[in-house]
Amino acid sequence: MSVKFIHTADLQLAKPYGSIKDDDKRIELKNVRFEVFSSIKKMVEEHGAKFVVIAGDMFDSPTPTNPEVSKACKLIGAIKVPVYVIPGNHDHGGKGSVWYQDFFIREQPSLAPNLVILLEPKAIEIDHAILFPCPLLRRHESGDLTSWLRTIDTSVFPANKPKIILAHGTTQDFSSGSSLDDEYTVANFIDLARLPENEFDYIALGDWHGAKKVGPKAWYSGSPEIDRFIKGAENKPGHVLLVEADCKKAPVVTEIRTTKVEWYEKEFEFLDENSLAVFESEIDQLIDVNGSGHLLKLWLTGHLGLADYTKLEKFLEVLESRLLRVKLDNKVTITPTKEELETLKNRTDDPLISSVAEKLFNEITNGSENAEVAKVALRELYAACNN
Amino acid sequence: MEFKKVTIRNYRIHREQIVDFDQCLTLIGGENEKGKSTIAEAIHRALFFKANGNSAQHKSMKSTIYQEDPEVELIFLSKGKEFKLNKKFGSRGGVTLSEPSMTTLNGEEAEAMLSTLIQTDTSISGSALDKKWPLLWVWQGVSSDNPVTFIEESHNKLIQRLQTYGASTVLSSNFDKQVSESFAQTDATNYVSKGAARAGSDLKRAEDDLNDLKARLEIAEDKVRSLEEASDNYEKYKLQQETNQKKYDSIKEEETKLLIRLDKIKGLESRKQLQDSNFQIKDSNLKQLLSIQAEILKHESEVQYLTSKLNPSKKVLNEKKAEVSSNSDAVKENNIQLNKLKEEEKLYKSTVEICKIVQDLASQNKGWAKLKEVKLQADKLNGQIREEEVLLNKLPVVTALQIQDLQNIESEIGKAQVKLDTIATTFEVLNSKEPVLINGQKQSAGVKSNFAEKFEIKVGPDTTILITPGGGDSLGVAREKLQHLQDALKSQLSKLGYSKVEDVVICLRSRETHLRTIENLKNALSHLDANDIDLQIGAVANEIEMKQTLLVSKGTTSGIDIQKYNADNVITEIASNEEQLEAVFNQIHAINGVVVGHSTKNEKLVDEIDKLQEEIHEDDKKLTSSKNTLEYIFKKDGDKQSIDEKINESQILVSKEREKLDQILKELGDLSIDTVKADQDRIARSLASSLINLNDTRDKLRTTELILTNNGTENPSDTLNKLEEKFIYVNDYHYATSQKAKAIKMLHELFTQEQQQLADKLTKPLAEKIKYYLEPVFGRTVNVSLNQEAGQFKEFLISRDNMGTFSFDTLSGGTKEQFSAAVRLAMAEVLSADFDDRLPILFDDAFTNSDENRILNIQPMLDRASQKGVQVIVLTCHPAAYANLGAKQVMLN
Repeated sequence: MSVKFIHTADLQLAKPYGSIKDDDKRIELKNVRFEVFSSIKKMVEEHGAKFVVIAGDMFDSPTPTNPEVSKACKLIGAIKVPVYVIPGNHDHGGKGSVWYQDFFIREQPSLAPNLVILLEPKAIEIDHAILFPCPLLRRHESGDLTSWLRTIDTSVFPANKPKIILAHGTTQDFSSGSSLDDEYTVANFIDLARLPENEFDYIALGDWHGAKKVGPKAWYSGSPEIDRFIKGAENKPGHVLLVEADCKKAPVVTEIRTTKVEWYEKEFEFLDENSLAVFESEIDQLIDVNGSGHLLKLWLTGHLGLADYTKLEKFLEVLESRLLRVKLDNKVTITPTKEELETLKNRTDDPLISSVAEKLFNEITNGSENAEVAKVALRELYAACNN
Repeated sequence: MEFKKVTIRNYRIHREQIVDFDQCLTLIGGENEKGKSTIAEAIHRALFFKANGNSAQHKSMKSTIYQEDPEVELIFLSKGKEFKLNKKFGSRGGVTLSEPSMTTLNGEEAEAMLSTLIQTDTSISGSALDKKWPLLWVWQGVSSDNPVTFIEESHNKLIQRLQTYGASTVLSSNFDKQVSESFAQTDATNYVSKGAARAGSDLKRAEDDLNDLKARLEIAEDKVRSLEEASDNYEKYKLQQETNQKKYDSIKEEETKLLIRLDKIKGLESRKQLQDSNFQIKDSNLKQLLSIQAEILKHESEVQYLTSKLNPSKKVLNEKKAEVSSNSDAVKENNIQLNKLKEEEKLYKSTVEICKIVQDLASQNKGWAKLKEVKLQADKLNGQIREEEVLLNKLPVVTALQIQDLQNIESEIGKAQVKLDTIATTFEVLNSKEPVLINGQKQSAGVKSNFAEKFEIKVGPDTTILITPGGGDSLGVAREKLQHLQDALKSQLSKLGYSKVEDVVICLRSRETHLRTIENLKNALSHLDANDIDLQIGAVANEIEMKQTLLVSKGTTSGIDIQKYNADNVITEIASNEEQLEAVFNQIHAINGVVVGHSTKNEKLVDEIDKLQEEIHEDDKKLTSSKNTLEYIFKKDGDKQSIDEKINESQILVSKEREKLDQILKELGDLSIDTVKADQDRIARSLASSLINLNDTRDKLRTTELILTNNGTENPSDTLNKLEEKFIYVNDYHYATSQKAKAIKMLHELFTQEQQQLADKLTKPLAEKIKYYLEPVFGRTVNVSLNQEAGQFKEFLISRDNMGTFSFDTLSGGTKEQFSAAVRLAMAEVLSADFDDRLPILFDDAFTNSDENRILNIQPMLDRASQKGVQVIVLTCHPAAYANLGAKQVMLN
């Protein structure tokens, strides 16, 4: 008998986003992650999903604050179907984690009676399926989390209910991939190859932040809300999976985009005096800089004159103010233009300024250890002469 | 510009004072209060002071002696022309300036022209006056002033002039200064002088924020780390606790088992004690019975043994006693015979003794007669020796040495006589009619007389002649020596009692003869060995007497008639008696042997009898005792058979008790009683250590639980993340701020360096000129440098002999004067370019702190300046000290 359910993971609720200086922006970004539950609620209703599984890392840390716990419970409570959760490496099921705290134990039954935390590697039978949770009970587990499933006798369970594995970690197939996730390690290993695949009908995985199929029945749902700059089109962050599982049949998986915040990325090289204008126009095309709720990562290279560099700084200041965040990798070198140099070096009326400028320029071009300071000094001098 | 001549009228003490200046060097000398300084002032006032007026300054110039207003007329060269400047000071004062090619100018026109010529304001009054030409006018008392104080007025001109020395030297612009100043100010707000960030600056705030954040980050990291560790450790501790609890429980179980074992052991120990006591009682009974049985057997065997031993012993005793009695009888008989033989032996022995005494007496009588004869011969020899000794003693004692001495003196006398005779005068009367008397004695003709002393010759009644022989005193000496020797000989001979040496020789010969005779006689006497002849004779007589007494006594005692024996029969008598004696002796010896044999035997038998008797006695006693004991035992404990029965019964009882005891011991052994103490200790130790482990893990678990219990008000990971991210941008901000501050510092330092380089370029020619003037004073190693700040001269520095650099203010008074003068001369030289390469400089008593030597060295310095276009005017009260200057000298009287 087939069953529809929602597979998500890595919500990382209460992620602090410490890199965002502005408190309002940080809170805005934090709240977006909680809003995922509203999207799931709608999806459940729309697609008739019977339950929701969260394959680890529902919270960003094992120690969310009480208000964050309350908020999550309240939103889960609003979903009309049961929500099954296993702890991941971020919110592992060790002693001291949120799942054992008095506050959560009190708050969960009152706000989210439909929330079930699976803290033991033990099969449970629910209305429409059999769940095989592989919870992470500490941040790093050295053994295969699914090893207990290799010897289990599945025949003892009703044959008409799909058997669904919930696990959080890295798969063998996947470990050769790039380590985009900061938390990525060889720990928390899931050996898919050794699983008796025929015995199970779907493997709901968490930990990888993009939606990804890693086996005939194995899927990473990815994080439903993008939380980092990820290069590469094959990574599909910001999705939730709608799964239709059936006994002894391949699951039918639909990726549904849920992310609300965009994480833009841009590389640009400044080559001449027109570059700055080109850059500004390209940024305008990429994002609506007047809008908000987006983040931008910039890799800037090339060179700019003293005046243009100041203009660039001012442009970046505007971007920083308007967007949630601008992550800047600025390798632009300041190269005074001929005219700028002329105005500094050839001041016959001001011999001191002229000779100081000359010396600074020499420091920069000779690449001395003071070159960086000399660049700043040259800009200051230029500014002092052009006020 | 060059001064040619000044005429001063009605100016203080001066009625009219004219000074003609030398083109190069002028020395104005004069005692104190002769108006030297007044001349200096008068020229200065002529150039700069407002002529018309009645101020205190005007009044101070007036003379108290002369009524007219003070007036100064100065003739000077400027721009190749000779100008005459005339200034009359006072309320009717005025100024004129004339030059041959132009009409005379008056008042303001004249001042304006003057001002153009000397390139500064003129016609001024008040304190501003003192600031005119302070470089060129060295008033009394200011010669040690720091050059920076007198440079101000000429500064700009000086700089302009210095610029012309280096074509490339350019001045910094005002904008340069403005920008430079702005960086200096910003740098000062960023950093304190020691290089640390200044409080209140952006840099300081960035540093503080960064440090604060670092500290907070560390705390947050610790907290998260501690949480993570606690989480990791929790399961581990839990497992440990379970293991420890299991271990503890297992040891506890072992302890319980041990306690049960201990209880069993206790019960068995008590049973063992009781059984042991039962066994001991039964065992003791059996042992007692066995001991009685043994006693009976022992005594029975004793009785049997003693009875069989006593009968033969008593028989042997009787036999031995009979033998002793027989031996004693034999001994008695032999002793009677022996006594008889001993009487005979005694008679023979006495006879032999008497005969031997008689024999000795005869021999001793013969020896006595021989000794008497020797005594006669010795007496005769002693008589002869005494006669010889009498003859010898009559002769004086003379030695061969003495004779030799005498003979030597005789020989010396001979020699002295010969010498005297050769000195003496021989006198001989050959013929004379008149009687010739010598020393009053007539001297016959043909008779030679020798005279060793002066002698008087009288010839006839009228003629007397005195002759002194020999020359000088030699005759006297020779005669004296002769006399002395003769006296010595005489004295020695007289001591010996002789008058001639030959007699002494004879005496010595005679003494020797007597001595030899005496020696021969003594030899003969010694051969007689008669030294103690009388003693020998006495001793022999005594011996004879003693022997006779002994003989009589022997005869009396032995009853032998001694008269029967004489010298003639004694030998045969002795032999006969000795033979008899030997026979008797042999008999005695034989009988003695028999007696001793019997006695010895008996002694041995008696000992054996005593021993045997004692043995028999002891055995009898033992036999009786054993019999008594047996009787007593039988009476007390029953007979032998009944005792044997009792023993059998007791043995069965003992065996039963033994079995019971062995059973208990076996049970105890099964409980390993020997290891129970060790087990107890081991379990106690294990329990203690296990409890420690248990408590330790329990504590750890509790602590970990405490750490892991979250009150939910804060999310430590969230806090850490925020701080980590904040750290990045605070760090970036700090970096940017620090980079900017460093950049400002770099700019400030570069501007300062550039300014200094410009200044150095500018002031180098001046410094070199100052050095040129200082060389005569301080030598060629002297060096000068100038520091500028904000375009102004800040400091003059001097160094000498590489001994470090000194600023002006640190120098001595004298050096200050010399250094200051050199600076003035150098500057005057530089400035003279604007005044047709001629400019006067006036020193009024300017070297009062310099010693004579320095003043000597200052003169070449002044001379060097005069060669470089400086017109040097020196006013001094010691003109003689400047004799080497080669200046035109003007003396004030």
